[in-house]
Amino acid sequence: MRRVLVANRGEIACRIMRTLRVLGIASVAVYHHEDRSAPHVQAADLALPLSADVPSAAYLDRQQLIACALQAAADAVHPGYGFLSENALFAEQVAAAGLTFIGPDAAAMRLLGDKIRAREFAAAHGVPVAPSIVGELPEIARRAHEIGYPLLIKAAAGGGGKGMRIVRSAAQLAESLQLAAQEAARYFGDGRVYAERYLEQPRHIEVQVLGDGQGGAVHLFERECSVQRRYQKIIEESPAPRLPAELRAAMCTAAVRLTAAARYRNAGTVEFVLAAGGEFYFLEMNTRLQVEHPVTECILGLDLVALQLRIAAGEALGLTQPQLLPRGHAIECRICAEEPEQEFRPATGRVGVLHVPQGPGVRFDGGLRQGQLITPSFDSMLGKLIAWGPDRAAAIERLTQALAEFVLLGVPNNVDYLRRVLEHGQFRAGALHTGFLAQHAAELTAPPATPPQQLVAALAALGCDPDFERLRQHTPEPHASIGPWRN
Amino acid sequence: MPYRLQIDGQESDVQVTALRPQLRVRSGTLECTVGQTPAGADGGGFALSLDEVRYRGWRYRVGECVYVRFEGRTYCVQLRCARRSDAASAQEEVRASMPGVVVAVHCQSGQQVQAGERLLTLESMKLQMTIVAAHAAQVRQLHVAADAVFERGALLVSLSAAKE
Repeated sequence: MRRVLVANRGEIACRIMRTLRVLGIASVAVYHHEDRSAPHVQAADLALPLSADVPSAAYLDRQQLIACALQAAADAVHPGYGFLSENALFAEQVAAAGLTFIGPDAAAMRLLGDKIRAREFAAAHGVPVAPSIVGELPEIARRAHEIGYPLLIKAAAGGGGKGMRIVRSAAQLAESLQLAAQEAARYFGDGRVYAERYLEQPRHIEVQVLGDGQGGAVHLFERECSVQRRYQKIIEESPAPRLPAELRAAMCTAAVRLTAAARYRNAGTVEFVLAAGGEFYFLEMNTRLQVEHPVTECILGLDLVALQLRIAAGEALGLTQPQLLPRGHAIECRICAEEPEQEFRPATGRVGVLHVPQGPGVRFDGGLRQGQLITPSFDSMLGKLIAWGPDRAAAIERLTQALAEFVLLGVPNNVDYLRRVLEHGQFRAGALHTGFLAQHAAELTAPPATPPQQLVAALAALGCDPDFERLRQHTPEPHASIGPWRN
Repeated sequence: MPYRLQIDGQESDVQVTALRPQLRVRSGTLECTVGQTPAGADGGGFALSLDEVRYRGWRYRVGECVYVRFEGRTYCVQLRCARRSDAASAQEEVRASMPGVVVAVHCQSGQQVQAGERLLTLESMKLQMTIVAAHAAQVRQLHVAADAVFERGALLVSLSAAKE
């Protein structure tokens, strides 16, 4: 592999290019006009423009991406995450164009990307699945009582919480099914939904796997991803806190069994929900690199993108399970342009001041630069701050300090909110579940500013005000002592 | 007359009580001598002291809002507080709280809507939300159509005032 086109943008494109650079492989970026001066364009050895009226559509245009790869004489395409990373047709078309798709083959994506088929496959290979009803809407409505309430309606083609609804009583069922099916059709072009038992306060734990496509597979241990808002993870860590060793082993073994059975090739993630009672159920398999892959890299000292490239090039995994020994603890938090106090509403603006903290065990994966305009065209995640420590407490300490030192001004963001989460007693105790942020919402709001804090903020802000500065510097006595009311 | 500011939405008054020999300010019950006050109009680092206690941080101005960060916390300071529009007129206009695109329009001009009735479905950064009527009203004018792109603060729907 000599040249790789990265069919993505933002932090993950920068992350992939970093590994390409280390391996001496040339990188090709693609970009929509709005991204023309974005960091991923500057990080690449070659950058090619994509045309589209809607910026996000550019990165979803299979034909243009493949044409760019051929034009750049690339021999492989890395899809990153999101966009086309789990699009089987894209994987197929990339392969048909004589290029290597860095990920699983289209057949595995079709099997595992469809939630209904994936859970049937999982169940057939001894991986536990939650009680569910699969069928047409009338059948789901008729048999819903079999799994009981509350239940969850999910889209067969879903992900990221889209098309997912909690139904608490039979009275809500018909309407919820209809709405979920419509939302699924709108988002995924596939209106199929199914109903599943809803677990109260479950944990979301996933297992990173690598498969060689020949039935060989290893796991790279688990990640705890329970801290979520709007069904999206914001803090992930490995190992999962307070997870009994036998449960960890059972989950990891199940994930490897599924990966091997699917003859899965490349990196993937098997997601589970873990009920309070200790039973776990298969949720889905993500057939791509995950946002939160750095925590796994930190505890194992591996480069997952390098491993993806190696597997895609047809080499052996080069790793055996006994060789994989995790060390210490790593936590990642996702830095997003959003307003936590306004129900995490996405925010926009210009990155006016940016300072990224450094220190032992601290890593920042970002595609950000000072002056960059954050628009509503793309996802609100701007980057990820990751800390490793010899144990969980040390990792939390390092990440808390790094968040305090992180400076991102000009775009409302969740940096301070993330720090309050990390400082929360129940987070430190490892008492995590997917409703954690909602349960502790009151304690996680910003405390009111103290009088000295208010005064410092006011004076620092007034320092940006020319009127105040003029008054301060040029007012002669005795007026100076009288204050500004003459103006 | 004090400087009237808003810090994270909270009103805050700063009164300069002396400029020489050193700046003294009062805010609420707190009065301090200020050292090394910040200078420069367009942001960056700052350092100042309140009664000898030193603070260092960063700030960045966007219009009338200055983001100030110190001790690991960012504050949003509004320099000139906009006069609150009277409640009645504020309720008549539905404005965009962030830029985005109109996914669906659920009402028509002239239509009578009930409190909680859907007006529009908007999408921004992959997040979809439904805008509902805050009170029973008549839709006076619809300012956007499906698929329209709008900026933050854009007028979306005008409603008649609330009926008591």
